[in-house]
Amino acid sequence: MKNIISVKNISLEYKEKDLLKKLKGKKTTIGIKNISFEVEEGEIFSIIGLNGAGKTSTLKCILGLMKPDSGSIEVFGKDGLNGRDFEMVGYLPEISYYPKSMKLNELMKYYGELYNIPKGELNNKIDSVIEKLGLTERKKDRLEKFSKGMLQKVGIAQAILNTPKLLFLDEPMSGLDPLARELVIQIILELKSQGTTIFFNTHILEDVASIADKVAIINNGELIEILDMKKTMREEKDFLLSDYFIKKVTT
Amino acid sequence: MKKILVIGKYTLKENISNKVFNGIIYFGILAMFFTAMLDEVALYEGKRVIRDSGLFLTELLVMLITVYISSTYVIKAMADKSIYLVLTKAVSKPKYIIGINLGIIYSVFSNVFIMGGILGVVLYTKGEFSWWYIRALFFIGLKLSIVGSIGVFFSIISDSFVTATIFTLFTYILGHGVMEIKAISERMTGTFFQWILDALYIILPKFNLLNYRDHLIDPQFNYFIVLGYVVVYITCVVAATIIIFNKKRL
Repeated sequence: MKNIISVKNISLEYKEKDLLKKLKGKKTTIGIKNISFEVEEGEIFSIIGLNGAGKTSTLKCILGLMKPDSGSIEVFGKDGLNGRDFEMVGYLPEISYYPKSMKLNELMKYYGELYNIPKGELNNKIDSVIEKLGLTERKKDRLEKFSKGMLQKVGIAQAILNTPKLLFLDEPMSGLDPLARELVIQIILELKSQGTTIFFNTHILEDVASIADKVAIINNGELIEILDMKKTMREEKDFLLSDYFIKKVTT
Repeated sequence: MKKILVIGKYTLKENISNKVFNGIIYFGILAMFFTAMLDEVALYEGKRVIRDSGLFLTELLVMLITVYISSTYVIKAMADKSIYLVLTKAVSKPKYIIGINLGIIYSVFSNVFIMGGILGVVLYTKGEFSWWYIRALFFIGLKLSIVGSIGVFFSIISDSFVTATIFTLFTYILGHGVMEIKAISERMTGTFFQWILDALYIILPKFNLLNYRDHLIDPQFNYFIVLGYVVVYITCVVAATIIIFNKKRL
């Protein structure tokens, strides 16, 4: 299997904005520290960690939204994500705002046009994605009428609109009820069966244990371990990811 | 290019649905109708008073809208993370900035022509409508397009929309006084202040060029030079915005 993402020794520090802390000599805060890992084509790779552990910072560095202070990132065998490579990528941010006055189909059209999806295909794609997420009846509704869970579904819909080869999901289950969570898991597994590589961040460990091929545990900006889930489950039949995770981040 | 146009179109759509934007537009429309009443109190100069105060109100209100939307748009997009959804769809940072600027220019001209259109109807009914009026509206649009690009620029260099708004407003005010700045500079020969004032004279937009009334008496006036100046000025501001935005950590 070839590597779709290759991250080598990336580190990132945030400049301190608080003047009091600056005066006390604290000029930076560590975001991530010397992180390396590889994601193979077609696998589900998950990063787990406590809040503020560095999951989103790692993801933003891979997406090119932030430049790491050191280290290198290769995506699709090239130096970082650039230009039209993004047309093969889907991304769901942790929290996102959608213009509330827009209707669902207008928003999807906007993102579809940015993805360069040909006009002839766009309407069919929008219909199919919206149907997959159970939003067909709300297609012409303004987003201001949507609940938090429904907006999360909208986020997932826009992320898979271009049938991505590489999908980034930042806390995809946030705000979803159990049924919707199950639906999202089904969508993730369906995309994996079609060859999509999925990279997702979460702190809901049940979801990770059930679908991820590899799990990276991250704490205080440092990568502690990468678990091969199938191998681990084979070797330890009573393995519980949540117990293992707590043990790792508290010791 | 296609993506720039798409971003421009959706920026306009978002602006149109903005509550502050709509509030000012409604107020402007109302103000235009009240302007029509000035005819009754201005004795023999009624039509001129309607025209001048209407144009003044159009520029003032559209300026307020432009300063608000331009100095808050990118800051809001960064705060609510919606910018990530655009930048991860094969939209480069320069394309994003150009698209936003284009959307603001669309918004400026649609506002100017909505408010100006109402005033135009009032003037037409009073028999005062002429091409001079359309050209004056176009010049207001050009001036406020510059203000929009400056607003986006300040919103990129500052993380606070209050600071960005204040700086944009100051630039708008100072842009009307560039000739005075030049005159003061000439009196301060050889001083440090002269250097500062000269720099300000070069950097600040020359809004005196866009005051249409000043050119009415000059038959030699070349509109293409003014249009060229606006295009070059906006291009320079957008280029500076892109350079800073490229270095910004999102």
